[in-house]
Order: sequence, then structure tokens, then C-alpha cells
Amino acid sequence: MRALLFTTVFIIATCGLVYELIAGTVASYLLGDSVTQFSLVIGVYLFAMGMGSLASKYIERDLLTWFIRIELLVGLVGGISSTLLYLLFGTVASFHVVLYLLVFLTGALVGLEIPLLMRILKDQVEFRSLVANIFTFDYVGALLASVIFPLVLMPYLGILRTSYLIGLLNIAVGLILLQRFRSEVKRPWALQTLAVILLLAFVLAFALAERVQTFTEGLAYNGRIIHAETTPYQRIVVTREHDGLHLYLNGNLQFSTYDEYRYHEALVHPAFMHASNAKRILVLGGGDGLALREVLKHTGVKQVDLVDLDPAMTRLFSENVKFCALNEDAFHDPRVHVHNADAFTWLRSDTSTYDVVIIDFPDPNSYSLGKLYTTSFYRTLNSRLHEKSVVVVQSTSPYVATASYWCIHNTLRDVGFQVSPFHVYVPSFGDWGFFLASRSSLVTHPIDAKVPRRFIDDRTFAEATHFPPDIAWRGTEVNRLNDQALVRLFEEEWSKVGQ
Amino acid sequence: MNRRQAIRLVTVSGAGLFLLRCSGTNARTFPVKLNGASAERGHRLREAGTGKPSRIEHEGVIIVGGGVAGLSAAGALKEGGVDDLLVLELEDEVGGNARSGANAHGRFPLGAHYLPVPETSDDRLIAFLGSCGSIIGRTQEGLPVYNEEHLCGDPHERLFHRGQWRSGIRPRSGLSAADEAQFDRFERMVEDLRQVKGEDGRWAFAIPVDASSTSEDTEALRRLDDISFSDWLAQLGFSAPALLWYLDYSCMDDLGAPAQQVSAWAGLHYFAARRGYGANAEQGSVLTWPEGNDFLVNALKRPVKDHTRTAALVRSVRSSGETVEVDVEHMDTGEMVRYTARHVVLSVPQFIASRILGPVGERRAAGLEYAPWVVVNLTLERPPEERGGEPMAWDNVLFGSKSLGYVNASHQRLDHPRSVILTHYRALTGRTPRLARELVAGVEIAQWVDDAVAELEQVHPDIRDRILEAEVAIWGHGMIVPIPGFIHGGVRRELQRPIGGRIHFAHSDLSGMSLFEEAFHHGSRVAQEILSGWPA
Repeated sequence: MRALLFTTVFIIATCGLVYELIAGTVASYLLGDSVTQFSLVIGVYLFAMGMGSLASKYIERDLLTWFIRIELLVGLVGGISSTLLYLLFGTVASFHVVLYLLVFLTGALVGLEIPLLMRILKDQVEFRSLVANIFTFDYVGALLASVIFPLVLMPYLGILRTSYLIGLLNIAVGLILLQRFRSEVKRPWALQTLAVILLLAFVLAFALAERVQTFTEGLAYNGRIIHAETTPYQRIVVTREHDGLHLYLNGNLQFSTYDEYRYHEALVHPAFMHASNAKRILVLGGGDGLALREVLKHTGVKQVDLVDLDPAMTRLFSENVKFCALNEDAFHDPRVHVHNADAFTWLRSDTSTYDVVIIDFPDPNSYSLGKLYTTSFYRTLNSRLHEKSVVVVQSTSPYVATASYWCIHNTLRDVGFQVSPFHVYVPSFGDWGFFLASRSSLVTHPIDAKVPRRFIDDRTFAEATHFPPDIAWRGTEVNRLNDQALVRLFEEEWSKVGQ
Repeated sequence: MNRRQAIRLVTVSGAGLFLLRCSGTNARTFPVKLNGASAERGHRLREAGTGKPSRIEHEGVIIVGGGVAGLSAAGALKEGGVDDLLVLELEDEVGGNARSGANAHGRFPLGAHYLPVPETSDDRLIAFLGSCGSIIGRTQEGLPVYNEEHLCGDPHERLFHRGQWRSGIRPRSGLSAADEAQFDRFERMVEDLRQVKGEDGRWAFAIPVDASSTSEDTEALRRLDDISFSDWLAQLGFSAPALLWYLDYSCMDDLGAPAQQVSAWAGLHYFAARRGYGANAEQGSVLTWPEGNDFLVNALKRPVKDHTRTAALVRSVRSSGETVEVDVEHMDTGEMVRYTARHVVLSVPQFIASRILGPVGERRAAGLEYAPWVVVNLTLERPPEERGGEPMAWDNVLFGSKSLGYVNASHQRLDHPRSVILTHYRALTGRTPRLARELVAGVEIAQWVDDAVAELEQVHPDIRDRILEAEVAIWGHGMIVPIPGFIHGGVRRELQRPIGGRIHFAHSDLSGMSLFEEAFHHGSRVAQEILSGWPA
């Protein structure tokens, strides 16, 4: 019995310290400034252990039963703490409070363990050697933990699996003690059932740690994830909610099947209303093929080149039956040519000119995307245009990001384009803006009545060109490679609404 | 001997801190290549030359050294009508410490890697930048319009300070009110100094250094060259640790040595001499390219391509009546050739000029200090994990570290390469340059890689596992250090004076600062020196 209990001391000491290290590591990863995080976590944890020790005196009877209960609880709380922290980081307002509450709870439970064990053993071991042995195993366990955590656990298992494994150990200790001292434990069946459930849950979590990431992510999305993949360029997630599909790139909604027709009709048809006899079309971005679908409705179109960086996107929307239905098999139209390349460099190497260019890039929320909205980019684009070419640029929300919207306008103007703004209401996105741009002045022709549409018509477009005073034109800096004013404006404006 | 054969390929274990991984089977390895100045070739000058010249050739002007100064001189001479000129370069490539490396993932600098936009009145440099495509025109007001793809892209700089990447290199977080006040006072002072002009109409702090005011009313400022920057700072009560770190960093960045080793005039020059701007470039903007200043070298070398011989070890330069004799060992053919020329330009650092000139050049290098540099290029399969705060910028600096941090060599690229090349810079300081050089010679190159990686692991925990290959450039005499007394002490002027009107000197060490502008200036200067008497 003594050997078993001392082994227990050793294991729980190791586990106890690993929880502390996990909390410190997660806190430094998420909050940065590792010195402060580790220092505070260690302080709070040790203090909590003291409080746990203090609390142990209020446990008067059934010490072994209590000890086993605490083991299960430590395993549960400690084991899921890192997962909880990752989950809550983006969603709760006061993350620090959650962090230190969790650290305190784990510490207090761990603090209960040793005093209880000492009392369990006090009648069986001489006090002098009891104290000596318990603390020896305690400190040796701590040494082991501090060595294996950075050298073995973190590099080979990662933070989530490490937490599950250590939680598992605590629960296993509880279960083994339960088996060994069954007769001395109150209501052993209930405890055993609980322990087995926890054990299985952690084994499962350990095996599925990869998926836990996806799962925690799933809570951030509405609806059920039906497709998720990480490409070298982005994370693609498609969800289903009721009957609608939603595409997210890096967590940002790209379209919802309920109202994407509004967005894509507004993106494509006004450009055709300003171009005459458009035959050669270039689509930049738009790997989902939905803009392509609208383009192909114009029977005069002879050739469409689509440039999208990510082959995984165009593959998904040209091979998956469900998604092909959305773009009406646009990628299989013989007029369509797909180029998986960076738009900037592709434009450089290209030599032809286009009648209509449709620019459907993601919003400028990073410096690398911001490059595709700069004077240099529009100058490069200009070399692929003729006098009558018409360009349309999707340009974020003029309501939420008014300065960002007009910054794109001012940048297009700086390069010498004639620019005409318009905006429409897309329920999933809100008020959404676009620009038409051309070397020569833009003249609106009536829309081709033969093109099937649900949203854009002559009157809708005419109304879309009106901007009420609250979102009217304003002066901004021009977006340049060496000074990406747009990225900063965008970040500032969208952070106010919490995106 | 072929330079390729001189390149040593070694393998570095991916393990460093973790002993376990070292012995583990999954320890990652990657190839490490050595580049930079070939110490082996340079040091051959120490040995006596063997063999007699097998033939004699005649040239108008011989330029010894194909760095920025030599190429600038050659270009200006060619433009001035001199057609019989020859540039002799020791290495297999011209460019000196502005050279670059390349691998399957892209190009990267081995040393000098940026150029601040020049003052709007610097017609010569502006014309040159026009010929490279970095300036695409002038506005009606005469302001240069820069090619925005050559201006450093946004975001420019970030500093890892207090657990976070923060925008800009000047520390701003966690400063006490007193420290903040010191920063403000320093910044106001240099802002004022930037506007100081002497009675001679020249800036007190100018680029090139030789364009600085020499009139009496700026004498007090020039006296700042007599004391060290750190002494001057102490005298004025600048003591905030964050400020002193920042100033040390700045001195190391431009001058190769900390505030303690450089003169106060030189230290202030870093802040007070940059006034350049353009129609689309605000003051403080810099030009940079994936391959660093090799971009500029390429533009310099193009017009004189047919007048350049590489792998040429110049053994001696001697005046001989109306001509100058230059003995050269062509290392690619093994041939010894004697060239005679009307003029010779020694566009090499003075410690080399001294050896080449023999007794005439004795003591030329006395008192000149050079800082050794180690530049480590790491090619990563993809961008490394970040520790929070601002995203990766062009220049990325770790507060308090012994290195100068790293530059993202892929930053100026407009495509989306999956891989990324980081150029890690370290000037070896805290000891005299000579001791530092001995240290450099004694360290295995794998150790330099390991040092750089260990430092970057603090901010990119997974960087070691992302490395595909590494290339180390060691510059034993990377940069002249403007120690107190050197810039305005008079020695410099003496060293610039031609010998016998036929042997001319052009190198940035004659300015006391290893800057592109200085080398370019000296190249142009000697070209004028020669052209003014041409044909002599």
C-alpha cells in the first residue's frame, strides 16, 4: 500500500507541475510577454495550492474517497484547461479572468492532494519518514515534469495532447486507487463509472486532437462544416445552415448561397453595361466560379481568363458536384481558362488586352492582400487594357469602412482612371461597394435584356450610384506599396464593428 | 582555382537547445554554404608573389577593385570618354560587400541591402537611380518620382519588445516619463542638427561626408568627432537604457560598431544627415530589393561589363615615370600579366592598398579600424510561427539582442512565394575589430548559423524545423569604423590625395562610413580627378 501511495505522490506531483507549465505556455502563446505570463501563472498557481492545503482541513472523513474524487476532478479540469483557453481566447471579453480562474482552480485542487495523502498515510508510516518521503517524491516529480515538458511532451505531443495525457494520468491514478481500496471507498460504482467515462473521453480527445482544432473552430461558424482544408495560402471552410451553403476563407465569409446572386450580379453586369461588345474577359480572384457564372451569361463573350492564386479553390469549385451546381459548371465551359498564379506576377507576364476585367479579391485585411489594391497594381493592370476597357473592383463596405472604400477610389484616380462608384445591399454582407474604372469616360448603356438576372436592372443600377451624405466621398491617402494606407484604414474601421 | 571549389558544404544538425533532438532520429539537417569575401584569396597578398609576368599590356586607366567605388569610377570614366579602361576584381563577382546570393527560392543580399532616398539636390545619384529604373521621372517642382516597387514596401520595421512585435524600431512601450522625455529631447536635437547649415552654405551633416560644412561657424559641431558618441551622450545626460540601446543599434546598423566605438559626429550623422524625399517617398524612405544593393551593382557594372576581369589578384602597383605598372595574377588562367596604365584607381580598402603599394603605401592603414560582419541567410519552407503583435516587416529587430535582427529578403517580391528568405545581420562588437576578426576566423560556419537560429527561436519557435538551407557570408573587414578623430582629423584628406598625380584612391573607408553613397561619391570624384587632366 505504501509503495502504491508513494508512486501516487510521484505521479500527481509530476502532473501538478505540468498543468502549471501548460497554463504558462498557453498564456505566453496567446498573450505574449512570456516572462510576465509565467511569473503570474506560477504565482497564482502556488497561491492556489496554499488555499487548497488550507481547505483540506475541512475534509474530516472519507479521506480516500475524497482523494479519488479530487484526482478525477484534477484530471478533468487540468486536462481540458488548454482546450478551454484556446476556445475562449477569441470569444470572451476578459480572457485574463478566465485564465487565472482556471489556474486557480487547478492549483487549489492540486493543493488538496498532498495534505490529504499525508493524512491517509499518517497511521501507517512513521511521521518523520512520511514527511521525508512525501516531499522527496513530490520534488523529484516536479523535476521530472520540468524536464520532460519542454524536451518530450511539447515537441512530440503538442500542447493539446500533453494536456489530455496528463489529465488521463490523474484519472488513471484515481481509478487504480479505487480498484485497490474498493472496500474503503464510498459508493465505488458511481466513482468508477465517472472515472471510466472521463478516461474514455480523454483517450478519444487524445486520438482526435487534430480534429479538436477544427471542432473548436466550428463553434466560430454558423452551421455545420461540410468541407474544411488548409492550403498553403488560406483555410477554406464551407458550412451548411438550413439549405444554404457558406464559404469562409480564413474565417471571413465570402458568400452565402441565399444572397450571393446579388453580390455577383452587381459585380459583373454593370461592367458589361459600360463596355460595348465585350469579348475577352479577365477575372482576377473569384476561384469559386460564381462571377464566372454571371460572365458566361453574356453570349458575346468569347474567352474568359480566370486567375486565382489557390489551386485548391478552383479545384474544389470545378470538381465537387455540389459546388459545381452553384456556379452552373462554369469551369467546364470551353471559353474558360484557369490560371493558378499570383495576379500581380501573372499580369506582368501576360501580353494580351481585355475588354472587361473583374477584380474579386478578398478584402485588404493584410499587407500581402493590400498589395493588390495599390497604385503599382493598378498601373500594371492598366498595361493590359485598351482605351475602352472597363474594370470593376469589389471594394468592401462603404458603410462600415467608408474611408477604406474611398481610399480605393482615390488610388484608382491617382493612376489616371475615370472612376464610377456604386453600392448595393447584400443581406449577408450589408451595404457593399464597387468601382467601375476605365481610361476613357464611362458611359452607361441599357442592360442586355437577354441576360437572365434576379437583381440588377437599369433602375437598380441607377439607384446604386447614389451615395447619401454619411457615406459620401472623402479625401484619403493613396494606397501605395511603400505606404499601405488602405490596410491601416481597413483594420481600423472593421475593428470597430468587431468584424 | 574556381570559386565554386572554395565553397564548403557542411551540414548543420537541426538541434541546438534540445539535447534530446540532437540524438533523436528526426533531427533535421540542412545544407550550409559559405560565401562573402574570400579570406583565402585576400590573404594570398600576404605571401610574396611568384613568377615573372609573361606579357605586358597597356591600358588608359586600371581600376583595382570592383566594388561600388570602383564600378562607379569606371562608369563615370567611360561616360567621360575613356574607353581603354580595365576593372580588376579579386573575387569571381564584382560588387564587394553589396553582392548577393541566390538559390532555387530566390535572391538575397550577402551584405549591403538598402539605400536611403537621396537628397533632391543630389543630381548625380538621382541620375544614376534613373538609369536603374528606381526613379521614373520628376514632377514639375523637380521632385523625383520613385518606382514604388523599389521603395521599401509596407510594413517597414518592427521591434520585438516586451513580449510583442511592435511597429517601428524605436522602443515606445513601457518607457517611464523620464525615459520618454530623453527620447523626445534627443529627437528634437537631431531634428535641429539636420537643419544646420554653415556659412559656406553646406549642411553641417551631409552625405557624402565630404560635402559637409567646413566653415568656422560649424567648427564646434566638427569637434564632436573628437569624442566617442557614448561619452557625448553621457555628458548630455542621456541615460535611458532603451534610448542607449536604440542608439547602439543605429550605430551598429550604419557604422558597424556601437556608440562607444564611434565618434559623436558619426553617430549624429546617422540621424541628422538624411533629408532625402520624393514626390511619392517621404523623408526616411529607403530603396531596397530582394537581392539588396546588388541591384545597384548590376546597374553599375552593365556599362563596363566588357572592361572587367574577375579573379584577378593585383600583386603590386608602382609608379614608373609617365606610367604606372600593375602586376596581376589571373587566378583563372594562372597567368602573370604586367599592365601599364596612365592612371590607376585603387578602389580597395586602405589595408589592401597599403600591401599593393609596397613601401610607398606604408602606414596607409595605420589607425583604420574595420568591423567584421557575419550575414546568415536562412531559406525557410514557409513563413515561421509568430509570437503576436505586428506582422512580419522588412526589417525585424529584437530589442536588446546582440545582432541587428533580420531582413525579410522576400519582402519586396510581388508574388506569393511559399518559401521565405530571412537575412540575419550581426556585426561583431564588444571587442576590438582585430580581436573580433580573429574570432571570426576561428569559428566554424555552422556555429554562426546555429547562433542566428537560436536567437530567432525566441520569436519564431518553429524556425529550426522550417529551414531548407542556409548561406553564410563572412566579411572579415566588412565596414570601416568612424572611430573618434578619423572623419575630421585630417588623415582622411591625406589618404584621398593621389600619389604622383597618377595613383588615385576611391573607397568608402576614405569617408569613414561604409555607405553606398560614399563609395559612389569617391568613384565619381576620382573619375573627375582623372578626366580633368585627360589626356595627360
